[in-house]
Amino acid sequence: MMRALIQSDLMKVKKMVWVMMIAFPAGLVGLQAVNYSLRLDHLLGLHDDYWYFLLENVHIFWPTILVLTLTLIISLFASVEHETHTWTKLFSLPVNNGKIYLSKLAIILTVLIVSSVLFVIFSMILGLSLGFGSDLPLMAASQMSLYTFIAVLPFVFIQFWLSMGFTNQGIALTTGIANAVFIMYAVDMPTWLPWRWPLLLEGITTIAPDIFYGLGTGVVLTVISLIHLTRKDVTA
Amino acid sequence: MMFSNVLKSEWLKLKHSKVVFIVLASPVLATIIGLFSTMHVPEHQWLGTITTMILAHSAIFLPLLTGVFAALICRHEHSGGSWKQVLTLPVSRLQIYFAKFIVILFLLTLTQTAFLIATWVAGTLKGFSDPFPFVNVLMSVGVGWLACLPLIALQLWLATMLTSFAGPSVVNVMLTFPAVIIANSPLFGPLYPWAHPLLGMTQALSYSLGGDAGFLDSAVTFYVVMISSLALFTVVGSVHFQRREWV
Amino acid sequence: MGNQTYLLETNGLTKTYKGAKVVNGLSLQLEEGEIYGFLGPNGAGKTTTIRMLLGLIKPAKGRVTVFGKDLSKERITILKQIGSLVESPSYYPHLTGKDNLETLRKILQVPKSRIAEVLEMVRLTKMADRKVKEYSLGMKQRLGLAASLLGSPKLLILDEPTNGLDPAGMIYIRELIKQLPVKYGMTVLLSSHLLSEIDQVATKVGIIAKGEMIFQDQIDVLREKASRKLHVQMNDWETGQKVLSRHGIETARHDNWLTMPNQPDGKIAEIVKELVYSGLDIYRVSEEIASLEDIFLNLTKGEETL
Ligand SMILES: Nc1ncnc2c1ncn2[C@@H]1O[C@H](COP(=O)(O)OP(=O)(O)O)[C@@H](O)[C@H]1O
Ligand SMILES: [Mg+2]
Repeated sequence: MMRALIQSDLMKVKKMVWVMMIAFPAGLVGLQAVNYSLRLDHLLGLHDDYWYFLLENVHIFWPTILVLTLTLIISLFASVEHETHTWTKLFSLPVNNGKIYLSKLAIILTVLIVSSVLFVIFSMILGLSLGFGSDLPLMAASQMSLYTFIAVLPFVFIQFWLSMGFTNQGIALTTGIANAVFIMYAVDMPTWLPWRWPLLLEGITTIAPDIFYGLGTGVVLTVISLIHLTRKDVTA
Repeated sequence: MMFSNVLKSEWLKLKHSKVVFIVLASPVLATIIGLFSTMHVPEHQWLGTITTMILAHSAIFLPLLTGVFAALICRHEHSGGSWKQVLTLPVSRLQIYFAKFIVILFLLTLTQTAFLIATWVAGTLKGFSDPFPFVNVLMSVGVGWLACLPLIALQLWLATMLTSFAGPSVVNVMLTFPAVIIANSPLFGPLYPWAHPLLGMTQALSYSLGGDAGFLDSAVTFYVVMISSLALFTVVGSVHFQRREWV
Repeated sequence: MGNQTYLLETNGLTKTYKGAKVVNGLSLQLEEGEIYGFLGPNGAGKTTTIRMLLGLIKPAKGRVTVFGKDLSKERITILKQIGSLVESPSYYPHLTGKDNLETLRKILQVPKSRIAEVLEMVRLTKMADRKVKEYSLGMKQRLGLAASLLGSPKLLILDEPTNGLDPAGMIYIRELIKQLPVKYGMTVLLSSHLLSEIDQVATKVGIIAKGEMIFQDQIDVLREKASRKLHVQMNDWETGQKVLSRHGIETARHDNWLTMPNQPDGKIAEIVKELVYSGLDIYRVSEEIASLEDIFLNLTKGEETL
């Protein structure tokens, strides 16, 4: 049943979702490519480990981009149903209401994971083409990408709840943009604030408590939002 | 006369659309960031805080907000199927298009005004005793407003074209993000409309204080690019709207 | 065209989607004070035609003239006097019914009291202050109707206006539409895929199938078209058939009934006389009148087989 639901949801996915999944990590790495090509010598002089420094650089805006991506993807998923008024139809299908959301969530998380993997691949390609050698820091890059993904989970569920729960996507988008901006300024914030977690301030390859906070909060928020969404009356 | 009626009608449609939340989001967020800001400029008590707030507000939030406003203003025409109703009213399509444009401008004005107030609030809460540099922030806010015009023109075009709410913002994110880097280049920054809100607001602030933040190599380029991109997006968007088949 | 001025007239109206002529050379004439029933099965091109009448889409070929003016040139002047409801109702779900009408009233510049009037006309007064997202489909449809009446238009164009209404609502709206020409001097163009709907209100009918107008005239003429048949029951049908074929009348048999096309009165008398003279016992003579629904089905089915 779950498989059928996911297949049906996949058919409804807008092309823009796939475009974002590829374009955002590509664009971000592309920006660093420009940055490096403009002032290569200066940047190489800043750090001994070229590869590690490259990863740090590409990571700077990655949390913000990831939050924007997930905000937009989730909103696109929700608006397909809101704008065509098909929630009622979905919920009258002979499936558990929770599964309808879980199916969407599964696709959204998969898109984000693929995007994260692409981000690692693109970064490797950039390093290689800058001539940093074939000793690829795959482990470090994967850790960076994975930890960021986990730390960003709470935002996935906030956006999921806002986008699916309210027909007005303006609220969800504004909140998502606010979160994305806030992350850029969260360096000085106390540790317990979720905006700080994806920044991986303890080092991009260090398993810091932040990551576990992200995971824990993410799981708690999933449960709460799914419970709320499935109990809510469906009217449109 | 007739046009003001169309405007009033558009304004009424904003009722219950939680637009206040969206208008105030960035100023509130900027206030929080301003309160936490540790940036300090020795000669000027307010400058560090205000600069931090302007950066947070103008680099990403403001450009992306134009997309949200544009989508918001077209959202019910798409989902309630009311384009066909609006367009069989005895007014020209251009009037409808520009009424929507002006409502977005108005919302932007509210946001910028709220931001102006937010800078004062943040500084006052931090206990600044020097007089609030009202004129300087006002200049900055005003130039930021101008810099958003081309973006709005493009976003409105996209919003009338795409039915999904997030659609215009997807394009917007793709265009805005590079601005964060491009704005650093005095040469390319003024050529790139999505870097304009950031460049305009920071430069206007420092300029009015008698300094030069150095973001803008050429103010002329800035204005030429701004006006020509505004003209381009407005013409293309409104012609497309006028010609399009409404089903 | 011609000497007669119609309130609305189209000449050779054509619309092409992806090479297929969805509306093909449609000529439609509407006189003042009429209720024009625009009839056709689903997908026949009714909504597409109506969109062209309102200038929402542009015809590939042909012209629309309303109030004697060319739609492509004086669209706005024309629209001032048209009220319309196209396909599904249009509404702003987050606004109340009253505010929905207010967004239109501000542009149409009619007195505020008109909102209460039209709400009363469609019996939505009680729901006026509720948000439209709380409305049922029928209520949304009635709100759409109220919106179309708001500007006291001279011409009302309604695309399947009784969609989603309950039987009581349908009857009420039908009565309302019937009164519009009498009470307010409006002219109405009303589309539907159900003949029964049109039959009860329209004074003139246009039938469209596969984008082409296959019938357009007063509804009485349509009724005339009813293909009547004559049935005669007798004891010996074989003899009867021979007798009749000598008179040039081909018959079909069913049990001991012979069926033939309808004949004028004199001819019927003659037929019966002949049959009796041939020594046959006539049991019954009866006439069958096809219902309008049958005619409609026949007309549109004929189109499909072409
Ligand atoms: N925008 C469009 N693009 C392609 N085909 C269309 C479009 N709109 C309508 N059609 C086609 O035109 C035909 C007539 O549609 P329509 O006018 O809606 O029929 P009706 O209102 O009589 O049911 C249908 O076959 C439909 O598929
Ligand atoms: Mg139709």
